[in-house]
Amino acid sequence: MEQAKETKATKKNVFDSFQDGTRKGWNIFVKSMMPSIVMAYTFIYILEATGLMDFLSNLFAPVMGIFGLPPIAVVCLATVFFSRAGGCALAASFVVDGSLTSMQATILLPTMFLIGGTINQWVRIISVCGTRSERQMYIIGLTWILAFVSLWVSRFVFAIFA
Amino acid sequence: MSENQTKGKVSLVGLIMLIIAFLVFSGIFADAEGPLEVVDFTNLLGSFGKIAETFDFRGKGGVSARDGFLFSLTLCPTVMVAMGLIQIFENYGALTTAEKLLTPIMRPLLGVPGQASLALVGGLSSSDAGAALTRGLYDAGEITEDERDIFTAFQYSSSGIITNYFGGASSLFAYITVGAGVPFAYLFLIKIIEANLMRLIIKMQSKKEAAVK
Repeated sequence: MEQAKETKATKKNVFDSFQDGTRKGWNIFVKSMMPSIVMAYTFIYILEATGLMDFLSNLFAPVMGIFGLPPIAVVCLATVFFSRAGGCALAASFVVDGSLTSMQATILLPTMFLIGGTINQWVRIISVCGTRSERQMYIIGLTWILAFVSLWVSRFVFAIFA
Repeated sequence: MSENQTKGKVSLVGLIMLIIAFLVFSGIFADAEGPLEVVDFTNLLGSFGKIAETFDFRGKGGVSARDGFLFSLTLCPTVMVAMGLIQIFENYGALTTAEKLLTPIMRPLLGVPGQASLALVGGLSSSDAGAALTRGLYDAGEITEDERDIFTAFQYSSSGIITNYFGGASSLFAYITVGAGVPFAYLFLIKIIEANLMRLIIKMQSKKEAAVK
């Protein structure tokens, strides 16, 4: 593809670099972001139209309540399993329609990022690095523990910078 | 990583780029008056025009797949501009400079040798590159098994953070209460914490094993 051409060039100016980057961004958008958003919106429509959303909301309300988040936050956390970009985009749309506050979305962001890609990055990183299986569990366990501890900690951290 | 990056020393341009990258994504100049306002990601992104003075082209009251499609279009420029800026910073040596600056502090920070800084920086843009470089260090005997596993924990947490964060999470940048760089720095800190927790676990395990023997 174009990548071969890109690496051959010795030095690119600011304008070419910017365009190369926007092209990469476009690919991320077309290949990852847009499909996962369309998928998520359709899925949410199905959940809402069938009444399953209310059921799930009631189910997860206590858990999400512990972290000061509305039950709909579960949908974002579930979506990042398929796509980090999709989960984040969904959180953005929840802020737009008022289901999440900006602060709640900010708190969710690091957690979504940490648990997103648990499975595929496991194969692509931990297996490639060659860590033995008993220690693989530690790495994934630590990531998940930190992800949920972050739901509490991040609000204080981000409050400083707000 | 691109081949055009100068090797060996910290370049002034690279350092300046690293600083600009920090400023653009920190949100420090988000509300700046005058020319400085261009040194901010959200301002560079601009805004959509309004239809009937209220809504952007997405309109109101859309449902399901069609609404999702239009909503996703509103996020497209964000990811394009974010990746465009990152590419400039990379091409002008911001990452190479970061690598050189990190080399002396790798041992205290993560408990791995300084040579691992290339794998660290490589892993910031591509999780696959980071994993391959980490494996390479171990196969070449430059890091021990324990060091490899500590480093793997670092690579795994928020993997490929630059590309994945500024690409994947960019849709949220306009809606969070802090500058885009703040959660990035926070996630980077978690990477370091996770590696050090792994370091602690491995240390305790080897102590236990030594006691059993």
